[in-house]
Amino acid sequence: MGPASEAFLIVTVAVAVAAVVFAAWSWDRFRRARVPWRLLVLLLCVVTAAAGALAGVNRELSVYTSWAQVFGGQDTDADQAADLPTDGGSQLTQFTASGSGVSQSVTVYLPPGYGRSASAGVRYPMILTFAGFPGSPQTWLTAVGLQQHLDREIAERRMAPTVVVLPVQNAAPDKDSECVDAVGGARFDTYLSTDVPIEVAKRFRVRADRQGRGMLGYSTGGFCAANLLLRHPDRFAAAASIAGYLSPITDNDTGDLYRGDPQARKENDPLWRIANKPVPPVALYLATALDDADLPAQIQQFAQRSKPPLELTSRTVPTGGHSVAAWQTFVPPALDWLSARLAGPVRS
Amino acid sequence: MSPTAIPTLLIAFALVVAAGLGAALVWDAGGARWRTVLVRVVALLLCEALALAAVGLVANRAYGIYPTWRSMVAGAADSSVTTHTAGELAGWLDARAADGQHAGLVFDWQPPGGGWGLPRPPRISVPPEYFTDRDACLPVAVVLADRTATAGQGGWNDVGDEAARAIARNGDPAVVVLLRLPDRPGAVDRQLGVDLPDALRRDLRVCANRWAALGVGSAAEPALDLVAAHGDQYAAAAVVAGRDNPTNPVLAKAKTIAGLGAPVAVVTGSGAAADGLGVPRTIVAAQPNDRLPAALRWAQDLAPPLLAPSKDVAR
Repeated sequence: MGPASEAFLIVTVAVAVAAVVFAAWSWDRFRRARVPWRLLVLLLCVVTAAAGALAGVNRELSVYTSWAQVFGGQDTDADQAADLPTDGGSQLTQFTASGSGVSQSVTVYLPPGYGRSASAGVRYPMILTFAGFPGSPQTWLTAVGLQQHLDREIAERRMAPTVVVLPVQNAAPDKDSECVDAVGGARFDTYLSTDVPIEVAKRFRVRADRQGRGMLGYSTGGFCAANLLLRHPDRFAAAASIAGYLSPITDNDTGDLYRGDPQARKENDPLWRIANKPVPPVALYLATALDDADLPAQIQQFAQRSKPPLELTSRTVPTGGHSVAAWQTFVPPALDWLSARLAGPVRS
Repeated sequence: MSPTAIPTLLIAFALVVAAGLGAALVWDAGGARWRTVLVRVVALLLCEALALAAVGLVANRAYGIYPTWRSMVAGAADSSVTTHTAGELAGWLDARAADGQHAGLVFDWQPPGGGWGLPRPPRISVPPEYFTDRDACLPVAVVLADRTATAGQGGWNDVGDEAARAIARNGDPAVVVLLRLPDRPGAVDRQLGVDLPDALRRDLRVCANRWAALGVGSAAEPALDLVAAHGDQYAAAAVVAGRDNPTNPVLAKAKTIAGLGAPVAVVTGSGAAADGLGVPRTIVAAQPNDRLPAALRWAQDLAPPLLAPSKDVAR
């Protein structure tokens, strides 16, 4: 029973309700210590209600998916390269990718037909995905329903069969790496843009060229996709950023990633790069709900600054905020768009 | 009043306080013990639910999740669907679909505006997929050559559809445009970069961009120039050796364009010519008539897959 499981949520809610019943029932007991007792049972109610609410949020966002993560240890689930439940002929599998001082689990979506003998010599395009913060690869699968979206887009031929890679992009669930090489810290940019694709290519039949590689992210993951695309046009041809900001943030979750180095920060600022660096020949998809804070303004600013050979597609919906509902709306067309800009499966 | 407005939060916390006071008032009501316990349970659960809702509104304001009640209740607007429209040649091609869906078709295409000063009309090869896969947009490979480059010189022969189709088949499922340049290729730069894509999109169900430009012999440089000047239209270039191996300036230009991120391949009779210049992809085909097929196969590997229309993005 993991911390993001339905069973755990049911148990915590049941405990919270039981605490309320117990408080109501025992309110008049213990005449000699009535005040401390009442304070104690009220505290119990508050703590269990908060625990139930946190379990619900954790289940929705899949921030902590194992008890080892909750208690500060390393997640060992990924070391067992076990196949997860499958749907529609596609398959999910996991392995641990190490490099650049980072060692994290990577979940891999193998499209329907990948394992058939007829596909034995086929190398597939690859899409790296990044989750928002807080979030994890599991958020893509449970909250956003990525596997179902992929199965449907591929089955209905709006998307080519593609290997989709879901790496863990943060050192800990409560630390936001922003997918950058932190000055004097964890090198998640190098890990995600270089080490993970290499490790995936060692294990799975994916295209090795940039034309066959793209990225997709929502929220913080959208920033990751756009930033890594502009920084590494030699490794990726296209990226789709859903509700992703276009300028780096620094807050309690990120910590000081740039150690006061303004140039390092600028180098990770898509809005700065598009205006001050040579424009790379890549394709970028920027999507947001129009009521999502200042994202529409950022996308407009980016669009005004972008020029060929960068191909920019922007898409908005009137409402949706910064919510899972909005991301679910954007994911299928973003997948279609990405697939149309990546080279297709090729027989090697 | 939006869910992130301060008055909304104040009202939410006022409701929590009110529920607390209400709970205190009814705490001992009910009469029988089980009724009292029931009233207390309901009152406590109400207080907890309101308190969690208030905290949730604070978190919603902090993270900007739902800025409006509409986004909270109705979610996001759904996608629309854009479909590819048939080209103006659709009727003419449909009449030949019985042949085309088996072997593809080759025909001379008359561009609008008097032919752009080309020595002869471009020849177009349409793959069988054009007829069998009616939802998909097809990728395009434009092959440039001088007036006379025959198949034995890395180009193609203008006589007979079958020979042209046999070469173009290597690029399937791309629409292949075999185009002979005038003696001054610079004169048709705009036509190839802008007018040709516009006109071809009107006539055939081809993808809007990510085309490949392949240049045979002396037409290699114009092909590279197309990618350099019209990168939003032409995404990849191939240099195909004709009578002679590509010159060093052509190879240097190929390397420069490859350095900008565009896929570039050089197909030569011997790899030695390109060695040392750092051109990323060199394909060796000793026989001149094997070079253009090899270049088309290379371009096909880079082309987007045949896909049905996207959920909402026009291509």
